[in-house]
Amino acid sequence: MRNKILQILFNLFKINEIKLHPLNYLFWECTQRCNLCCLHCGSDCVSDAQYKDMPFEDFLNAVLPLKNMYPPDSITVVITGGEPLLRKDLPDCGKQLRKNGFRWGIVTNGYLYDNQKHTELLSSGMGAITVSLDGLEMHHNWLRCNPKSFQNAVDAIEIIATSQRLNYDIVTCVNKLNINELEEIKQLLLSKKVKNWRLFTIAPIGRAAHNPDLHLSPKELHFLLAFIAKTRNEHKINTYFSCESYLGKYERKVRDTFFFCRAGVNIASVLIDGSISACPNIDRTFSQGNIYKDNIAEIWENKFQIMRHRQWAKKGICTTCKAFQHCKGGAMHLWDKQLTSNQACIFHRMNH
Amino acid sequence: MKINKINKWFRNILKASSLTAVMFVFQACYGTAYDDYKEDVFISGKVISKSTQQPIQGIKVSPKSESVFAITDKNGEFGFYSPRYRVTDYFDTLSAVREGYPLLFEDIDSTENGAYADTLLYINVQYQHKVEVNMQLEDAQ
Ligand code: SF4
Ligand code: SF4
Repeated sequence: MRNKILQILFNLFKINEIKLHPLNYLFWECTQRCNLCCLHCGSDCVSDAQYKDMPFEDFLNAVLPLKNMYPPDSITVVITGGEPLLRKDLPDCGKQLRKNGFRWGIVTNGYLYDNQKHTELLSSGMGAITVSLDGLEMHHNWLRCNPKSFQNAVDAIEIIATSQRLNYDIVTCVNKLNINELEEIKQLLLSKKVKNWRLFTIAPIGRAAHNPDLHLSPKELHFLLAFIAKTRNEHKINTYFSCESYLGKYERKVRDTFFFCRAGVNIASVLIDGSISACPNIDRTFSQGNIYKDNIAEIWENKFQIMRHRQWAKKGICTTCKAFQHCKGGAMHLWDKQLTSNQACIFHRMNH
Repeated sequence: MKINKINKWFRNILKASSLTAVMFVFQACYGTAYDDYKEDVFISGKVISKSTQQPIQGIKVSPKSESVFAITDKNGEFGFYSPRYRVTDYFDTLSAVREGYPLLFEDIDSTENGAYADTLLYINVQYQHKVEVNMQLEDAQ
């Protein structure tokens, strides 16, 4: 009963949030270069990227108009890639963002993160960081296709966990090979004094689309969500599932709030070619403009309707779904470009 | 317009309530958490030589014993972000007490850009987001 009332309140909140659509989370895909070649990568990054790194001035000039719409310190710029640490000017970019009032953080595989980088980035005002750890040594290195990637990621985590300043978390992509070592990963993170741990599954997009071994079965999905719920009850490490799907009976047991895909509602991105979109893992044909010809503030205000108003999503597997009123078609990143159906809804997979 | 005001009012109420504030916390699959830390300060300024009044390059400026710092450029300028520390340091006797944010200027490049005496300054950064410090360093003995 309590959950039902909270869900109704949350649905009202969602309607209100969509109406106001305050932008407070802005991805910047600053490079497509990467030093690893992960099996599950959603961005199809390569060491020799098709696009050159975006000049920082192009990004900054594009986002400055947002300061007229929102207090800039309410916007966190999430610098992503590729691997952002491959950009030598990263600390300067961050410092300039901060001087212009924006907050910023990075998503990294941790391979190049050492004490010197840590100091440089903190001194440049970095406030948030996410590091990937996709299993114990063997499985992490397998997924990341690099024999040293595990050790480097653990070293990075050790450095980051000492910081009182950073709002950080460790993310784990759960797959068929590492699902049985979640407890050991948890113990490892606890031993490093990690406070926040986020788990997600591998969606059939990017390279992962062609590797069914990476996808969890319905039974494994139940196991994963039950593990997260149990770990949350232990109160030793703040553990949560990512935003990727509506979860039925697991809603609020594995996250603090109910499912809400905020793509285009609170989240935008500037992609490597200047495209303006929402989360970078959404199919790129859903881009809403381009910083090289459009004003991002106007695009944010007037476009993104497809992500904000989801009545169109009652099709494919969602047509008869009882949860549609709460879920509205699920994660935008799981829709194919023809908008035929959500391709990988976890709730649907668990129940079929 | 009117509706927008009501929407904003509704949003502010939800945000302020401890029961519903959690609704505002989110993170995209491939993204970081928010940065909502309010307790840091940007410390910037210029370092010059007391004797020549010329800018000094290569001086490390840091809060003593913390991991953030900046090195002065060819114009003697520096700038870095740091949490707002406040320390109380006791020197030889209890009567020699210094308090505040301990800003240490260190000549780390030996004699390459001249040789200067390391200097520790206690500044007040309380409640501030930006502090400017212009420093004159004495020649090393
Ligand atoms: S598109 Fe995906 S990653 Fe982005 S907010 Fe929606 S569910 Fe989360
Ligand atoms: S089937 Fe569609 S509406 Fe139902 S939970 Fe999945 S994504 Fe949401």
